[in-house]
Amino acid sequence: MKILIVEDDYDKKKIVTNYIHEICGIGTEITERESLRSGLMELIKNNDYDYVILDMSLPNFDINEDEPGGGTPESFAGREFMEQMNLRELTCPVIILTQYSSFERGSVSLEDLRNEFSFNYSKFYIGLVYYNAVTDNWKNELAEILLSEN
Amino acid sequence: MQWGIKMAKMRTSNKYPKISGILYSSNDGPKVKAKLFRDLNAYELYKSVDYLKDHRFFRDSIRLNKNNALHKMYGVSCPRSSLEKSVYWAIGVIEVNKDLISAFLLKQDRIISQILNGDYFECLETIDELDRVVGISAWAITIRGSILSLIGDFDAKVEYARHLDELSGENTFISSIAKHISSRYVDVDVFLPNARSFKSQITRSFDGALLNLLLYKLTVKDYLQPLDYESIFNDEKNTSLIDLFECVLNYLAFSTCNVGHDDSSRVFAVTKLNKLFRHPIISNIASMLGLSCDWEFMASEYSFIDLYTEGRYEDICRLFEQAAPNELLDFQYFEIVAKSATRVSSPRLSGLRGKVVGSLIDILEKNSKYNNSLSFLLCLCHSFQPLKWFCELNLFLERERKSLNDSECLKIRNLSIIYSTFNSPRKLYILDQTTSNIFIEKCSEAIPDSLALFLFTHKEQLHNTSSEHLTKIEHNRLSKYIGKSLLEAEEYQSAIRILETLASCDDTLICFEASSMLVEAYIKTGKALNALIQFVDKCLVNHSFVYNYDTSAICDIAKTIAKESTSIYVPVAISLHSRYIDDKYDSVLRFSFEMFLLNNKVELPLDDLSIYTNYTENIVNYFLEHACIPDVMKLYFNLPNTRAIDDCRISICNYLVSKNISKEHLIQEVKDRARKIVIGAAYKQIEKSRIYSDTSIFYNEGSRNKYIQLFDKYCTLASANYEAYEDEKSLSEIYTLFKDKDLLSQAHTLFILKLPLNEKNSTFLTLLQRIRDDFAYGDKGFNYYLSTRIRHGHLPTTLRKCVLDEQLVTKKIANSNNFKPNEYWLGKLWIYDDKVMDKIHKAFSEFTLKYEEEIETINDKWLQITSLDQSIINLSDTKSKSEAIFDFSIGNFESYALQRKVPPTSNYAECVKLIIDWLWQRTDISLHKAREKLSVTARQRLLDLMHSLQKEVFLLSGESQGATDLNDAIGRARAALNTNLEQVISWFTRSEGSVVAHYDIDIAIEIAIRSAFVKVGIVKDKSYNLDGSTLSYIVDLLYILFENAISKSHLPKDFLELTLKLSSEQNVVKVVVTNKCLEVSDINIANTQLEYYRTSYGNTDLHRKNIQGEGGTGFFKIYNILKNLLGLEHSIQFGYITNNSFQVEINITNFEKVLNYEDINC
Repeated sequence: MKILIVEDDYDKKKIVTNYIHEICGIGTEITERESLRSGLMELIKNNDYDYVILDMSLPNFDINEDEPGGGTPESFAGREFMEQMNLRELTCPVIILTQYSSFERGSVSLEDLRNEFSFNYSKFYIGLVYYNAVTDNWKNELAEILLSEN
Repeated sequence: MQWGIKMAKMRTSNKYPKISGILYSSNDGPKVKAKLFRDLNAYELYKSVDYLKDHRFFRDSIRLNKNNALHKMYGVSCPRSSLEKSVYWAIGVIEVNKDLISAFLLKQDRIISQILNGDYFECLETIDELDRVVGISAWAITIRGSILSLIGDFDAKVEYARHLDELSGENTFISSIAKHISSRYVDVDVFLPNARSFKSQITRSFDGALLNLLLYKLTVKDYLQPLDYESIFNDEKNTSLIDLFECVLNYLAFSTCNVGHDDSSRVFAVTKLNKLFRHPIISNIASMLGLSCDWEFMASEYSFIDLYTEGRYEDICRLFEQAAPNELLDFQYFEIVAKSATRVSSPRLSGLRGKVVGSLIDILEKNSKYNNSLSFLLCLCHSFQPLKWFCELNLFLERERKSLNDSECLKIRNLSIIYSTFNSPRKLYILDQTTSNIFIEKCSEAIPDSLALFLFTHKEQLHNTSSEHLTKIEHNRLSKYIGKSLLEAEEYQSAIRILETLASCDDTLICFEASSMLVEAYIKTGKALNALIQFVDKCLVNHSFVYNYDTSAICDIAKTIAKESTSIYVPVAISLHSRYIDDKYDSVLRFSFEMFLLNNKVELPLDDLSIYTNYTENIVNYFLEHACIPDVMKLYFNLPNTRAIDDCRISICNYLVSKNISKEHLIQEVKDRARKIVIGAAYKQIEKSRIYSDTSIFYNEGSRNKYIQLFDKYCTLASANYEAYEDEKSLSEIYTLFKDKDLLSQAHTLFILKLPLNEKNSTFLTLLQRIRDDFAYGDKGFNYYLSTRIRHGHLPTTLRKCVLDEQLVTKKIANSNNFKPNEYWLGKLWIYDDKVMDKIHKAFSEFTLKYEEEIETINDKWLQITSLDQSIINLSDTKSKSEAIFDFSIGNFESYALQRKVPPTSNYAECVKLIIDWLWQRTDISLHKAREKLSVTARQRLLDLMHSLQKEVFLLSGESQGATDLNDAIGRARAALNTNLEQVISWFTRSEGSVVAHYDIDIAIEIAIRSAFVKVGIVKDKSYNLDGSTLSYIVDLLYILFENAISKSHLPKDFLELTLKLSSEQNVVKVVVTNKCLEVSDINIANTQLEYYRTSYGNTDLHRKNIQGEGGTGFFKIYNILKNLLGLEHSIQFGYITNNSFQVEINITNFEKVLNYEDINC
């Protein structure tokens, strides 16, 4: 299985990668990207991933010495990512894994996002999981989506 | 118990056991009220009002502020309840006070007339009467405040504000509400920006019920914004009678035009109110619901409408001009007159009437006065928002200023009809079939020959109709009606033929309408590009035309062809939406921009101008100026980073400037972007210059002598033969071994014990140690830069920022090791268990303590230099430096290995170069280790601390909104820590020297401000352009000044009022930094305590000791930068200038030394 993880949080990325190896097997090929641009570019170049695990809030560019903050941070980078997938007719299944329970000062809930994504990106959006480092709920939800799809 | 019995009976006997039971349940008013609202259903509540109107607990809630008790408004009186219960209760209250409401409605009509005719003083008297009769209300406060502003009576306004303050008493909430609602009318030029900023401030700062109330009560009315009326009613039922009545009307209008609202409450309210009052909102909704068919058809209204329908515009303007002051005041007349006046000369009108009609014409024509007129009318609408006339005006503006989609259009149109007094055929839009038939029948009887009614009843078959009626209609109008009829009948090709001609006719309004319909017809027939061309070509003539179209439908069709299209119309059409409507299609714009270039086989917009040859210059210029902007280009893969994007944008701006397009604006943009690039480069230079050691001292004539003597001595000794010496033999053998095994790069790892060195080797080692000492600890040495540019505040501030921003760390109690409670998070996580709360407090305190300890470890233990040579290694207390990453210790073998690298023929300079290269190699090893430790160990430790806090609090508080918020906050802190840590890691690379040739001092100031994360007020007499090589030092100087102000003031950054003044007089440049500080009791004593720093300033011995360390070393470092590193002659004064402000003043006499030579005459 080939999975693309687009995630800029070091800690979260490490935990998620370990967990995917745990449930999908150590042979699972995981590619990591850390920004909206690099994630999208990777998917355009290699559209044979079985899943994309996508963070909602990402920097525009990979953080490096030329882009110390990664450019403008995008609260809804996940949405932009999927919108670009839609426009480019990329259909690799996407799971959103976010550690924020709401956006825009609470005015956009995860349920709002689930409804929006199901409606707009039904071709490839397969679920949104709320990541909380102190509980294992996200693991069960992620496993359920990943394993039920296989 | 049946509720349908007469009130007289209710009072004489106890027929209300349920209410009686509730009333006798307690002697506590709030408890009784809560029980009443809880135990009774909505209808019972409605019925109870009359029964309770004189009861001591309920009197005030039912009579509602009759006694002008402003301070009681929004006090908790009626408990919160469901929307249904609130509506039923409100209707009961209105019914009980129906006479007062009737009086209010009469006065309201008079007030509208007085405002439109400019009779402002009479209007103020009417409002006074209203207050006397009905009681003070937010409604009246709004109108009175707006009139006082409109007439410019500033004194009266101030007096009124004072009066409201007095009436508000201790109720600061109503005082604040009153202040805002009485100050709605502001200068028209600032109205829109102010209104936007105010709304976003409210949205950012509040949520839940309060946000709803403030949006309802204070912000510019947005008819498309959903509001939670359940929550609004819960507040408004505790205000005044008028405000409650207005709330009911607003709710009825809102719920009628928004699906999903409880119909039974609305039907109940309209049924009851329609029997009590004549009010257009009530009667129109009653008709809409089929509850009433009681319309009055006025011949005067219909003759006006028919004149307009025929196209007799001059007659309309004349009639309006001749009308008496109390005639033709309905908003519909104003709208028809303004529309007519776009075709003929405007009617001569004076006062507010004239200004309103004039502004309406500007808005309809979308002419050059459009923005001013829109702002003026919106300001009027906001100022007189409670008046129905201005609501109708506002709805008209919504139609004209926003690009509405079909459903929004429908909503605004229906609301306009609901608010309108005119019983025109437009009402048919909101009526069901049965009611429509009755309407047509009654209207035909009352106005038998109405052209408007004929058109309305035949609108779908007009193109197949031949009637005498139609011959009366002006040619273009008739064509428009037929085009519309064809469109509605889905005969698109025929419609297109008519509309294509009509879209270029001279009649502005018909041209707009025809163009909009033409776009719709093109979309319906799949002619996407034709639709885009029609839309774009019209809008490029005047960008305000955008609001005439359904731009969402246009963008949707553009999206379908974006992937394959080579047309510039695709990105331009979407860009018009993005610029003027909203950001909904920004992603599509990015994609269409990319596809336009790729489909035309170019990489960048200016690569091949031949791709634009088929387009007008106007559209190409628009594309370059407004579509090729960084936000659109940010995902484009042929622009790999922000620098490339900025460069591309600058070249586009320069190209447009060369063609005289938007010259002033684009030149400014180029300047801003160039400045951003310079700041970026300068920032990078600063970031990359933190690790540095000035090795020029080893070569300069003045400073190299001490090393040359040693070098000469070594050269003399090296000419002799030392092969027989024990140390030489052993070292040579090991050297060969290391060399053979290619291990010489590891020479620093080997210390050979008990091996006395011969004189030659000993001399070389001494030379090495001397150079090493100055490289590492000299005035311009490695440790100086490490201390000033990393350890001195920079690193702690950067690593602390992520947790400070999320308020995860708490403050220490002064002179104690304990921490203050983290009120922010304790408030959010509050649960009713003191023990648990205490544990949560401890978790936050512990987190703060450990986080600070980690920073301290990194700063004070890891990022230190150790240079314990073999001779003293056993004597040293190594504890304090045991974790130091920068290891410059030299062993006997390493010294020997390096000596072997120095050719016998080499001169001093060549030898020193070898030694310096070796020192940098040693530094690189340490830098690698530092990056590694920060990236892995520090990151993990800090993240673990966050994780522990998160886990501990979660276990203590369980799943709650507070715990979820904490999870979000820690998520943000983690992301920020990763970014900040990457920034810190990037500091640990060797300096690449100066890349910025010269710079404006503003750039250094900005970088220092960014590094210190503080606001600084800047006052400068002129610009100072400095030599690029001084950038890092000037930033260091400013940073130390700012950081000292922050750390020594004992005040939070927000209270610092830090200012930097730069001025020059008679070749002396003066730098003054002033800040607020915690008040000192005696200024003289406080200044005396600083005497040590004054007397020590410039003292070489103390200075050497202090520039390498942190804490109380700022002034020593300032001296070092100014005197030693920049060579600036200066004097300094510092101290408290008042009990709560501190100042540092530096006077530099040879500032020209650091100026860019081109700026030397500054």
